[in-house]
Amino acid sequence: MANTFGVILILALWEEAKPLIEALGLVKRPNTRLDTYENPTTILVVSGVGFTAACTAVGYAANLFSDRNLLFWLNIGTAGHKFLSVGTLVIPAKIDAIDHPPFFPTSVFRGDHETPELMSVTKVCKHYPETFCVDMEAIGFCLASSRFSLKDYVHVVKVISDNQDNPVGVLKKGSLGYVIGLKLEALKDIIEQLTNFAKQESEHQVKLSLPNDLRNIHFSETQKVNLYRLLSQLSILAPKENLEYLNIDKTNSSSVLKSISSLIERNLPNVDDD
Amino acid sequence: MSTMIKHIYVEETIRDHPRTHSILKKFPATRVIECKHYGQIFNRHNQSFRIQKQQPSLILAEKKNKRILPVPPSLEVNQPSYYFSHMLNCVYDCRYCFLQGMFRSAHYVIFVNYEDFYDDIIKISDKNKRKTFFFSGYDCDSLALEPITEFTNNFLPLFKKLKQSTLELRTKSTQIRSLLETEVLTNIICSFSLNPNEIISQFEHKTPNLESRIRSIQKLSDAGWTIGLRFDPVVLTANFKKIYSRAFEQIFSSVQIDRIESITIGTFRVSADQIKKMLKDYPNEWLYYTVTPKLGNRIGYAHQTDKAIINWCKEQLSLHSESIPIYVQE
Repeated sequence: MANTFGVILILALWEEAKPLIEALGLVKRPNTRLDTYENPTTILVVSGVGFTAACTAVGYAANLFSDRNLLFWLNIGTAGHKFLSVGTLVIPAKIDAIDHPPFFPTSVFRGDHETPELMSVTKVCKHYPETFCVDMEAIGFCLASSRFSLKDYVHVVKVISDNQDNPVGVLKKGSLGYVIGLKLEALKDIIEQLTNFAKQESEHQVKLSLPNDLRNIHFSETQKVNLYRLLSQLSILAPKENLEYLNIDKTNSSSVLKSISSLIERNLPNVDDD
Repeated sequence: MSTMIKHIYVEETIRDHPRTHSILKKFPATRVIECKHYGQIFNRHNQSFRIQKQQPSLILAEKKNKRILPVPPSLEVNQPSYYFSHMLNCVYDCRYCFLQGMFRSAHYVIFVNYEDFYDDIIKISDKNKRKTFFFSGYDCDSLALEPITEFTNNFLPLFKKLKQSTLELRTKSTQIRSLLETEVLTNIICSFSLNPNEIISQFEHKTPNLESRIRSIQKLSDAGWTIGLRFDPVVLTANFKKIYSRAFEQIFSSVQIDRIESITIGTFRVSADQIKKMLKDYPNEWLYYTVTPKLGNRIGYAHQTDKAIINWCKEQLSLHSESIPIYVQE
């Protein structure tokens, strides 16, 4: 039995989210505190602008997917950079902020993307740093989402919306949606890669279910832990054994555990086996 | 290699270290990211060694303390013994390796302050005033990243001066060019970890096969280098005796016996904490289910099995190499 997983997309603004909602065919979830769109594996939450909004949206989304074993996170949005041209897609290799520890995403995406550092700021940045991208949500998103998942499951992708030639102050209405639209195919590819990665990860740790003919036997909690451990060991050492029909003594819980242990013993490699 | 590394993290304080510059020159197209301390990436909680192993990054850092460590008394080789690691982690992906159970991250850390290692080695050698044994290759493979680290080019000249000390380079690698281009030093032991090809293909991913390792041993011994052979870990599988006796035959019919300084054997063993983490990363790995808990937080083959493996290996190896000392690692 594979783990269940969920892919969570957090975007700050409706304007940025709209092209993706349409492209992915996501459906609005009714009666939600934050605008939320979904399909069976993915939810998209529109967080609002800034650190606190991003953190809140992460917690909110994690709760919506509380029935999933594994959560995979992607913060999509727009960012500024002094020199990179508008419409450049970046996957930052480091996300930093003045008042918070930096976050270093693990590289999991294929493709030859720009990977500059990203600085999350608290106010709109009129003077662009020389080398960093700037945004307002990524650090909050990363720090909050890594409370719910492995850090390797937390990722950020941004599209450059402004630079020193087209500064943030002169952005027109609709321009953020427009730049996201410019990179829609690339963003869809990244979301697909993340979803495939999530699927692989969910299948990585397969959970054993208790064989039917053992379900009527009472095991203490400690015995249950031991039973699952022994069944895992048996399934690996003797993959041809059918766990559903184990030829073991089913008189009581102790006899079951003892019998499985003996079966394992018989299947261990031996120095003299040839 | 350079195409495989997407990111290089560099500690701010060693950004201008000459060795940092020389390593970065080898990766002209790779993104360089500064960090305050390598632990920000390497030691953080809640990350996956297994995922990172698929595309490790490089971290250049400074080893500030505990550079040279004494080996436990039980592992000393009749003289004061120490180990050190100029690197953390390994390019190979051996399923039995304790590194995957020990480190939180699979990124490669290179400590660029070799000169501090030199100072410590000299101090320890001077303090001991007698033969002192150092080995590298505990937290990494000594030679596998040689084109990047230039480890031998840097450390061998030191040991040329420290005649009373011995350095053992532990490796599975065939990166021996720098050794072949260097003057042979009698106080250096090139120690190769060996296993039958059946074990290499199943458990030692991304490593050179047995024939390649034997060829490296041949080249080094022909050049005059002293060789160590390490069968550690010996892995118990089906047809155990058949595959190991065939491998022993293959090895000892190809190498110059008189160049072999010692043979080391040990069985697959890790700590309980390490196997817990290894099982989490590789829950379907057959190897991990063949061992059992032992005394002192250790995991290994059952006592009788362990004894039988070691005795059989010693017996077989003695047939090929009567005069060579055989050490058992426990």
